[in-house]
Amino acid sequence: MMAVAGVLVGMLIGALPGVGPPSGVALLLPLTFGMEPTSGIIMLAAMYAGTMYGGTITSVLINTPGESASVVTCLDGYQMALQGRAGPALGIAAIGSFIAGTVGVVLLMLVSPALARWALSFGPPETFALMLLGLTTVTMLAGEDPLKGYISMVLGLMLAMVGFDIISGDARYGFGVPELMDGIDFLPVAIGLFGLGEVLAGAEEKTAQMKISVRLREVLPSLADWAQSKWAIARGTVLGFLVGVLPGAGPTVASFLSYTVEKKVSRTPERFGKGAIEGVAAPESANNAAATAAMVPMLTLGIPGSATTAIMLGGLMMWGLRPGPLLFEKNPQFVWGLIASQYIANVMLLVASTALIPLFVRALRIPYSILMPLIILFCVTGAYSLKNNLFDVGQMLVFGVVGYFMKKLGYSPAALVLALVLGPLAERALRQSLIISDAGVGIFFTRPISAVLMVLALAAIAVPLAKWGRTLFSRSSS
Amino acid sequence: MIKIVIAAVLFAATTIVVAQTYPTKPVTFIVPFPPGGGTDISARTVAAKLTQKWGQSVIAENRAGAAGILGADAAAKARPDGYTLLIVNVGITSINPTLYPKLPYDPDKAFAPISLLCELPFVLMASPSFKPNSVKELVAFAKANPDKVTFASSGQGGSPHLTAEIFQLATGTRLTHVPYKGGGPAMTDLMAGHVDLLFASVLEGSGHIKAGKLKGLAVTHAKRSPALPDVPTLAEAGVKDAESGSWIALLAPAATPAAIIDKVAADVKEAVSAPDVREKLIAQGAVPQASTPKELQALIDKDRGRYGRIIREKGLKPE
Repeated sequence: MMAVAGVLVGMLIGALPGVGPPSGVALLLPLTFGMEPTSGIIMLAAMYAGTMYGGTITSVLINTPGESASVVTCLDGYQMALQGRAGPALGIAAIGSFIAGTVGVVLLMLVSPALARWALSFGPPETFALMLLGLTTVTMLAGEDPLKGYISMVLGLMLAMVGFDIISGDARYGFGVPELMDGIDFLPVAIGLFGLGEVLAGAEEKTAQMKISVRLREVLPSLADWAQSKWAIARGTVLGFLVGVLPGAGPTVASFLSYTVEKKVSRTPERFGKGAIEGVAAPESANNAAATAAMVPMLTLGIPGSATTAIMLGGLMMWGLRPGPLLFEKNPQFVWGLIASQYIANVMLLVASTALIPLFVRALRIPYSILMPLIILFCVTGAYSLKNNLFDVGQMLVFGVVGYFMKKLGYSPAALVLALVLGPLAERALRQSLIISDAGVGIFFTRPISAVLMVLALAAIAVPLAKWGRTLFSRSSS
Repeated sequence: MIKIVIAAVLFAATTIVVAQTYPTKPVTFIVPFPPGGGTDISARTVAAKLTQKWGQSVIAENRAGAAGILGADAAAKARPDGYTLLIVNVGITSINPTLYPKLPYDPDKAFAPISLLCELPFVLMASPSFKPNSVKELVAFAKANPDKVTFASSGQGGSPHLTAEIFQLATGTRLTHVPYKGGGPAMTDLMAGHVDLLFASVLEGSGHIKAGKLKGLAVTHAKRSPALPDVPTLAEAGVKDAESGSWIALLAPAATPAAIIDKVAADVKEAVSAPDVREKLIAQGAVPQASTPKELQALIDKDRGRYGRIIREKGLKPE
C-alpha cells in the first residue's frame, strides 16, 4: 500500500522538472513522520524510485530533464518521441530501471561489505582520474563534429569555474552576485538548454504534429526494441552500480558514462542522438542501479552516498536510528525492511509506469500552440522550485536562448552540461590530491586504480589523435 | 502632541493585542540550508511542536545557497510582522559577517535575536591508520612534522574548518587543510585514511567512533557528550580555550514587534524543553538549549569575535 502510494506520489513530483529526488524526498519526508518506521521507509524508498522515473517522463516527452540523472535521456528519448515512439522509450526506461533496480538490490544484499571497501579505496586521486575519463568521452555525446563537441565542453568547464575557489576562497566570476557564489547550478542550465531551447527552435519551424499511437500494444517496446536494448541494460546496470557506490559520483555521472560506453561499443554509433533506443535504455538502467548502489555506503558505513540518501538518513535519525557501521547489526529487521522495500518499489514502478504510459503519451496530442506554453511553464516552475529562487529562473531563461543558438549552430548542449557536472568534481579532486601529495603528480600514477583510469583517459585522448594523424599522413603521402 | 501620545498609546496597545493573538495565520521559518541536513531537521522538529501549540502551521521553507546568505537575505527583506522568521547557525551570524566583505544585508541591523534552539558540539577524529591515539600524542607528532598532518573539513570557512584553525592556534601546531564539499565525503576519506584528521559534529562522528572505525580524540564542548562518554573534552585533554562547535537559533527581521519576539522566545523555550522534542534533538547529536533574546545576542557577539579574529589572522576567504 505504502509502496503504491509512494511510487505514484514520487512520479508526480518527479515529473515536475527541477523537483528531483532529493527535494522530492525531502518534501515528502514529513508525511512519513507519523508512520511506523518500517512503513515510513518503504514509502520513502518508493518515492525515491518514483521521482527517478518521473524525471524521465519529461525528458522523453518534452525534452525537459526532470532531474539531473535524466539529462542524458533527452538525447535519444526526445528524438524517439519525435518519431512517434515516446511509448517504447518510456517503456524501455521502465523495464531497464526495473531490471537495474532489482539486480541492484540483489547486489546490495550479497556484496555490500566488499563494495564498501571498493568505495573507500576511491580517494581524491581516483575520483579525479574517473572524472577525467568522463570528460574525455565528451565527443561521444557531441554528434557529428568532435571539434564543436570540445568547444561546448570548454564552454561548460568555463561555466564550472564560476563560484568561490575551493582552496583559496577567492571569488571567481562572481561579480558580487551572492547567487553566483556557489557556482552555476547545472539543472537550470540543462532545463534551459534542452527544454526552453527546444521550444524556441520549434517555434520557428512549422513542426508537424507528432504521430501518436496510444494503443497499449504499440506503446510498449517491441521484441526488436528489447533485443536491441538488453545488453545496453546489462552494461548500464553494472556500470551504474559500480559508479553509484562511489561517494560523490552518483546517478548523474553514471547515466552520462553509460551513454558514452553504449555509443562506443555500438556497431552503429551514428544512430545515437537520433532516437536510438539503447541511448535511453543504458542511462536509465544506470541511474537506477546507481541510486540503489548509493545505499551501500549508507548501510555499511553509515555515510550517505548521495543527496537523496542523506535525506533518507535524516529520516532514519528522526526515528531514533543512529547512522554508522552498527546500523546493520543493531536494527537488522529495519535494514532488511529497507532492502525489501526497494524491491517492492521497483515492482510497483514497473506496474504503475506501464499502466500510465498511454496516458503520458496522450499528453503529446495536445496541439503545439498549447503544448509549447505549457512546456515553458514547466521550465519556469522547475527552475524556481529547485531552490525557491528567481535567480535560477533567469539563469534558465538565459540558457534557453543559448540552447537555441547551440542547436542552430550544431553545438552539443549535452557536452556543455556534462562539463558543468564533472568540472567542479574534477577540480576539487585534483586540488585535494595535490594538497595531499604536496604537489606531486605521481600520486595519480602510483595508486593502482587511479593509474588504470588515468591510462584509459589518456588513451581516450591519444587514440583519436593518432587516427587523425594517420589519415592526415596517408592523405599527404598519396 | 496629544495626537502623538494617543498614536503612541494606540500603537503600543495594538502591538500587545497583536502579541496576544499571534499567530493568526501560518508562520514561515526560512531555513537557509538544503532540506534534510541537521539544521533543517532540528528546525522542523521545533516547528512541528510550535504548530501543535499555536494551532497554526509553522512551515519550514528551504532557501539554500551561498553559505546561507540567500535565505538570510530573504528574511532580512521580509515583512517584520512575526510571520517570517529565520533559522540560523553559527556560520550565518558569527562567521559570514567577517568572511564575506559584502553581504546584501547589514548583519548588525537586519535581525533581532529570539532564542537558541540547540548546540551542536564537534568531535575531533583521527583515521584508524593515523599513529597518534590522543590529543597529546597528536600535538607532539604534529610539532615534529609541521604541515605533514592533513585535516579534512566540510568546506573552507565553515565552522568545522575554523574549529581546526582555533585548535592549531591553541596548540601551536601547523596542519594542512583539505576542504571537501560537505561532511559525508570528508568522513569517507578519513575512514579510508586519505586524510588524517577531521572535526565534525558528534552526530556525524559518534557512530563511527563507537564502531571502532575512527579514533575519537576529543569533543569540543565544555562537557563530555552523552553519545561519547569515553571521549575527553579538549580541556581535559590539555588544550585550553579551544572550545568550539555550532549552534542553531531563531531570529526575526529587525523591526519585528518586541512583544511578538518575547512571546515566540517563551514558546520556543517551552517547545525545546518538551520531552519529545528533547529526545529528537538529542538523537540528532544536539544539546537542546533555549535562551532569552539577550543571551542569544551575547552568544552571537562572542563567537563573532572569536571566529572573526581567526579569519583575519589567517587571512581566510570564503568558499
